[in-house]
Amino acid sequence: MTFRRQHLLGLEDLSRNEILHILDTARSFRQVLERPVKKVPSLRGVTVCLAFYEASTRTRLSFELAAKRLSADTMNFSSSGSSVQKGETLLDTIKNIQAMKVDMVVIRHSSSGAAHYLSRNVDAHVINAGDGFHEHPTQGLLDLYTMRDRFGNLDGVRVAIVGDIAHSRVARSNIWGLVKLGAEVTLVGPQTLMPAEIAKTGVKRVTNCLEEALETCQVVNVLRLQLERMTSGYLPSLREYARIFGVDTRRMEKAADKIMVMHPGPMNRGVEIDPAVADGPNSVILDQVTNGVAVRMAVLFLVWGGAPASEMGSEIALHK
Amino acid sequence: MNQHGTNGRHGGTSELDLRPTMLLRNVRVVDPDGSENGNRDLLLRDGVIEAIGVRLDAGGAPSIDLEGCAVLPGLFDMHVHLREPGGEDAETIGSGALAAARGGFTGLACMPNSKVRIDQRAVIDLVLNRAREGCGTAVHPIAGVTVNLDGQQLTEMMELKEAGAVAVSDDGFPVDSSEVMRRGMEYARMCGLPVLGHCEDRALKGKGVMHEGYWSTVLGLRGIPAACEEIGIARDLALAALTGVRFHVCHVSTRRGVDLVRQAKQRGLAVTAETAPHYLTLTDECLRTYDSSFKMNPPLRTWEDVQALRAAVLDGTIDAIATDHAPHTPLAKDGELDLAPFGVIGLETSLGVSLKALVHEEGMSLEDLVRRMAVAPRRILGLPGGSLRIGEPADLCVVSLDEEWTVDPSHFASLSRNCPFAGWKLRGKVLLTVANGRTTHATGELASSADSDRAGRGSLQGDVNMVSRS
Ligand SMILES: [Zn+2]
Ligand SMILES: [Zn+2]
Repeated sequence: MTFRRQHLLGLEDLSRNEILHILDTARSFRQVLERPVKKVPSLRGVTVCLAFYEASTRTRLSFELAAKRLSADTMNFSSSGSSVQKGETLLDTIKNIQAMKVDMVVIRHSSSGAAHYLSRNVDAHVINAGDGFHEHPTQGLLDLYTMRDRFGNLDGVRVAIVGDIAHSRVARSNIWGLVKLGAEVTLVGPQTLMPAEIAKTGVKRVTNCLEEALETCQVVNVLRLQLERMTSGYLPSLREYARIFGVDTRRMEKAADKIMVMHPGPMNRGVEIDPAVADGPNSVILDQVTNGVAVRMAVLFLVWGGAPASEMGSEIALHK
Repeated sequence: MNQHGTNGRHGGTSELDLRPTMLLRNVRVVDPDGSENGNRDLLLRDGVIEAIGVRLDAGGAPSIDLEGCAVLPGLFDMHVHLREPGGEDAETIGSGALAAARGGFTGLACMPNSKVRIDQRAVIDLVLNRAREGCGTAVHPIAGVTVNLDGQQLTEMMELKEAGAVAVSDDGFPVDSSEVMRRGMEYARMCGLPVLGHCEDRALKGKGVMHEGYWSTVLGLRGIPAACEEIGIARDLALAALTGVRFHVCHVSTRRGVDLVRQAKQRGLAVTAETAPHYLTLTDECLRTYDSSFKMNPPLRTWEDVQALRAAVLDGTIDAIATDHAPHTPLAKDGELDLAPFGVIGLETSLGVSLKALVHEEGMSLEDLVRRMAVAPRRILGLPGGSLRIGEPADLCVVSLDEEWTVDPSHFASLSRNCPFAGWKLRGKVLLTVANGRTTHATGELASSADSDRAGRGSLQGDVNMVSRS
């Protein structure tokens, strides 16, 4: 198959085959990253703008590295911190992007739908690097990649996602991807952070009981808890959250021996995850980071119009 | 030809020119309060309905065959935001009046939350003066319940009523304090003014952007639960019962909101309610492209709610259809959805969308539609009209019932474009609007006939708002 999307805005509207195609392509790039020379010429002459309206060192660095490994030129545009003026800055960016003849834009923004909005208003290809609570498709894809690395096929694999589901774009992208690939998803979190009608997304189970989920699942993906959830009345205290929903060594004793522990980072050690678990034998958190670069290479490559995965030899060529 | 003058002033055209003389033949008269219904001829002379009957003699007036058309009492929109004074880039009283005329409306009531609030006599005077300079659509101001709509101090309702206010409302900024709302209702009752309630628990709404449900979860947008509206309606109905005020529930959007109104009516409360065409046709799923043309407050709900609202309009639980016409400039409305203001425009699509949702799809009679769109809104506000009376100035619209048209906001008379029905094909087009004896909108053959006594100066062609000539 060929990947025909002009943009990557989310996993919700991708088909199972499209997702698998990205993951298969990422596998080829993952091999490139093990070589002494970790660079291919696939996107030579292509300009990628990294437009980050929200502070995010890791995602930006991961995309930047991915673009550079593909020989693309990158430019950074960040406007974090100060409050985003209504509409203006995003529209201004669009005009600047057009004027500078940028080919691809990777956007991170605090408003859900910002990537959709951008994609409707620029000629460039748009890749969503996280929009509000909506989606973070490349994080979802790298999580899927990491799980596939272990399980091969995700059909029937039992995955728990733990934490603030309501405000998590990572959770949403994971849910769509996992459900499409046949995994059985359990959502765990406090009721105040569980969004309306989440059960209709195709997840297997929604629960407030972490122990129960750990006992039955093969993967636990622990979400970052934004500390402002305390001050805005969703939770009584960090202490209570850690006590009920923190993934710690005591709870891990009840889990399967080989349960895979994931976290999208950055972690609040001692809140949603105990350091001993984060750095322990079950953790694949650093693998996620490495895989992230390969997955983002694949996404940049395919959205730009790169060749289908099956036709790719060791030499990853540009198909455009 | 200028399609929307900044304030709708008419230059060289004298008032008399706009008073139509013509015989409308074979037109279906739909007038629930009138004695002449069915296929008739209707003779207008100098803006007055001279006769309604069968095979009338034109007596020299131009005569137009209107087979397939209906003549309705002029429609009335009791919930409009005109933005002037203070927000003239989005809408003026003149442009809003023209948009209303195009939609078949001969009158409207405007909410007080213009940037300069309608909370004192001077602002009412300004609104009425501007309306007089406009195309002829009757504009009735609604005053605030509280000064500056900030929920603290009551407005001088007695004086505001004398100046022309037909109701009080803190639409958009509902009075949070039940105590202040109670006093506002008591005072309004004393003044003989109905209270129009934007019923909402603002704390529960929080920073909500759209209806809370499956789609808000999928889209990652903060939700506004249906309970926001239900709590607001329940509280205000309890206060209405306590105070005995005439209370009107604005823009009902939920199934349980309908239930609350129905129960209150069964208990005998003096309560009425409205809903808007978009709540009868659209659901929260429309937001999946993050298009702010679907963002309004209350938000689009689910298909279950749509069905309950349609049933309530059919059975009369909901008395009136009102648009909550809320213009915003493209600059304000464009951009990130969560930062865009709430509100959509509706004057120019209200009749077409209501015909589709209620008459074509639900089998409602045209008579009942006229009750909801022309009669009830006036009664709720204590205004006369809503009927075709022989010997009185015509206040009517002519609708070509089977004519299809495509909604194209770029051709609207409204200065704003935030219409959720862009691209819709609607059946039923307004050909002529005459407000209090003056032509405010005419198209095609009717435009040239309406212009016949000015034939020496060339006839109007195409879609024309009479006032836009200069
Ligand atoms: Zn309102
Ligand atoms: Zn309103």
